[in-house]
Amino acid sequence: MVRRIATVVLPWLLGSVIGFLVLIHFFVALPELSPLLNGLVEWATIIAAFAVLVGVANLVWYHGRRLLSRERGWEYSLVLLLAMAVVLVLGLRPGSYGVGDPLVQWVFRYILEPLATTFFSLLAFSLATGIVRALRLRHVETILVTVTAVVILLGQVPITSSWTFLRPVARLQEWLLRVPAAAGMRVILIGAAIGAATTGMRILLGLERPYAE
Amino acid sequence: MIVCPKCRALNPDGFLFCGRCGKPLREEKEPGKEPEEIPSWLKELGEGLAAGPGPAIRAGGGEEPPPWLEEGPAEEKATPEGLPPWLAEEAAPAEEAAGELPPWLVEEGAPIEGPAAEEMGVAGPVVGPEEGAGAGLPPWLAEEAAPAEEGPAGEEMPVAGAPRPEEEEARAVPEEPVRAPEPWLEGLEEELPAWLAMAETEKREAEVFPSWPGAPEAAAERPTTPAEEAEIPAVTAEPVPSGAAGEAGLPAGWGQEAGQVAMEAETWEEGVGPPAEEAAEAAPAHVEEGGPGEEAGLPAVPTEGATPLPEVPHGEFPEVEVSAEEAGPAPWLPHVPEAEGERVPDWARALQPQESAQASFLEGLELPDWLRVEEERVEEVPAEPTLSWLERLGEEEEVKPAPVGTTARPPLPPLSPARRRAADLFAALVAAPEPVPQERPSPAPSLLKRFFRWLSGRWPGLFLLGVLLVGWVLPSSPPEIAQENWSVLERIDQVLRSTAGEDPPLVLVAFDWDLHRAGEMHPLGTALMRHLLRPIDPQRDPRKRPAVVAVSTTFQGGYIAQEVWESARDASGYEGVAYGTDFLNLAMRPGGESALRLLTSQPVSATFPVDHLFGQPVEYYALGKRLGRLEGIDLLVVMAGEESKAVAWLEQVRSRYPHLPCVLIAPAELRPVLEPYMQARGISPDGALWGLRAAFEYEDWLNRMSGIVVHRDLPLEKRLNVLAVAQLGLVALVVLGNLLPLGGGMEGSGR
Repeated sequence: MVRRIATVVLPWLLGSVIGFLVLIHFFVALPELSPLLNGLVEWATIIAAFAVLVGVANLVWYHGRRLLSRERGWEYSLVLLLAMAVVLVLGLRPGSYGVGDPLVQWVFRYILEPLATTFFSLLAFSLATGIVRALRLRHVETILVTVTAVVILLGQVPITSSWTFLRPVARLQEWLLRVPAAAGMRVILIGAAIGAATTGMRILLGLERPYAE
Repeated sequence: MIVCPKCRALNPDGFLFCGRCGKPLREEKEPGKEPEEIPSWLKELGEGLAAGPGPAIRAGGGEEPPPWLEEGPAEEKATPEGLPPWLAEEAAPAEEAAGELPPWLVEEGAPIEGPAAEEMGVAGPVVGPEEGAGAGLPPWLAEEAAPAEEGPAGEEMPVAGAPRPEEEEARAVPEEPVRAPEPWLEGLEEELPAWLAMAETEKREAEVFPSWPGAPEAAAERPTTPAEEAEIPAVTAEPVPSGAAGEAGLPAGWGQEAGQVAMEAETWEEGVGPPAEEAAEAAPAHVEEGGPGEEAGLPAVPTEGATPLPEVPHGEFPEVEVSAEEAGPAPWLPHVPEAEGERVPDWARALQPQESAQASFLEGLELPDWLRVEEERVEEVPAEPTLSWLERLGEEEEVKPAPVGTTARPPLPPLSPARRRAADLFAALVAAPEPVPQERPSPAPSLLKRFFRWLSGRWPGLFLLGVLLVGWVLPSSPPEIAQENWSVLERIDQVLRSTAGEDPPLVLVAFDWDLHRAGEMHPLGTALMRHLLRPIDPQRDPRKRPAVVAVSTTFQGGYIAQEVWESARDASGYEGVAYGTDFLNLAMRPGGESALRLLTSQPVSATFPVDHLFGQPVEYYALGKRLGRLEGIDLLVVMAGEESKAVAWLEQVRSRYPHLPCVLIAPAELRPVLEPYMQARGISPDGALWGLRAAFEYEDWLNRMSGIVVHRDLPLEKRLNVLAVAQLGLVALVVLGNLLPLGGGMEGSGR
């Protein structure tokens, strides 16, 4: 009985009470309870920050084990751990400004940013290849998708005096985004919102207890 | 014993198939009354014996025929000659070759010399007729002769022609004989199954009882011709010591058979023939006196002092096909000369265990593997006298090559043509050498295929190179700013200009995008920062600039904001801007939506307490002191690289401050996803800028409105051309990728 109270009833009471209060605070101003409720939300952000630390520890443990056991690809783990150690040393060394230290900023600007940008730029070619392979004119649906993709791509082209023939296409693209695409996306968002609201209510009412599992 | 339903042959118990004809045997035991049924000729003999004064018949023993003579199948009475079929078959050659001696009889008739004769005739212990017939017999024969021992006739009734007790004593076997195994069974006696041992026993019985026991009846019916008399063995002419037996007129075969049993037993057991004098004494009276047995052509047993056996030319014996194993002397013929061994009549050889008969005898049986292998080995044995087992016999003799056909297994059924062809093919494949793989000459690919193969791995680089070249070569022209974007830019500028009071307008910019969105977001951020940090009214107060506070909920947001700020700070026309006064980077706050929730419910400094660059408290800076709640913010610019970030800002912040001027800047990819939020009342921003095209138009707008040039190293027009060519190239790829398969040749190839 005590175990059930500790594992089921108490978490459900805490979650439900706090959840209802925060939800009410979203719609109704409660100046008296604002410090308490803001403190609860603050806890949530602290827990999120602690999750980052846990993630970093897990990353070090996982790649350190791979490095020690010489598993396949251990060289990449070594690079990752070395990069992590370098950034930490630069940020934690005596006299450092922390995350805003010029050295750390230099690493970010001249190492991390070019790498991330370059890798993401390659996605354009993969997308182009995928478009060529996927958008085959086999059925009516694929024809519609292909034509729509072509129209959207042409509508993204900056219109200059040399590309004035693209104006009708740009207007068509604007219509497609505002009407059909928005309508479809709205349906998806409303359905997802209903599902999220239902799940939230079930958790608040204790019908689902993910925290007890 | 089991009687074969087909040929009526006796088979040992346990036989599944008949040893003679191979027919499956049913469990039909020999009827118990059958031994009591006496053949007609034996009954007649028995009646004659009972009626006549048989001198050799003892009192009380001549009323009934001996029990062992009563044995025999009931069907044997039905034979015309009064003989059972098996006996008739064996009797036929006996009649035809009456003068031919069986090997054992030859042995009997041969003058035995040496110690064997002495041992057998003189030194051996004397046994009675019962012992000679029963005790002196091997166990298998004792079983057969058991009735004779038990019955009164066996004890008291001496058969006609049988020697008297004193004569029996003379030729008695001194001790229990041990029968020598057959050559083909040497070394296998212990391994022989019971049924095979019994089969061998039955075969020996056939040897013991030759065909001529049935001859007395025929002999009594016809006279003996002179030629036959010449062929009569000398034993028949030998005087019988007890002439009463011959005078009794008993059938010669009867007495002959009775005596022959003992003689055969002695022969098998001792391997030597009985002494000649004993044989003479054992000869029945009718033989001695030329009784019926003489007319029947009974073989004569040479005895000492008797008429010698007529010389039989060797050429008179037909060639008998025997196997290599049979070519060796049998144990019961160890001392028979080679010439005599060959002079075996056909009818006697028919009684001998021949390989073919053995094979046919075992044909229908479930033989164990080791016995099958033995049969196959017999086939493979060469006819040459190279077998070691022949040497064990101690005597060398000429071995005739055994005809293969006598022991050869029946040929396999002929193969069907299809199987024969398959076998030939298999043999050919096995015999053929392993083929050496030869490279198949492939036709040279066409020029077009080689071009596509070369292009398949290089098209991205070629595409980029072509885009750069074409975009650089194309004539440049300023872009046309879209109406939507123009409205947004005007709205931003209007907010900045409309701020009343002495303090410059306060702008909160959210850098919630990561580096992988830098391609689109960085130009937008740079243009926005140039716009925000420029003097509001350069003519009136060039130092009055909007105050920009950067916040973020992502880890990279603080770095990106710092970089964008520094790029604007270092640009021309922005001299004098200072960190902490015109710009403050408050870094990031973990927690996502929770952080934004805090931002809306408490002062900004409470949510972002320290700055990113130096880690100082917000209040440390002059701009930080101005920061309060979001109500004091003049403009909110949300730069979101992901849908979730944009939605979080719109749902958590924009919904709480719907009257706060808000602009959304996001990649073009997010426009379809965020379009519903753009159309939703209450949370929709005042405007949005999407992607790289908006960035170029922003730069162009700044250039037009304020003369600000964001990038001096790379003209905007050229970048516009390159962007336009790249997008058109992607469109061309999509179109060509769909049109080429329709043109044929590449459908389904996926390339």
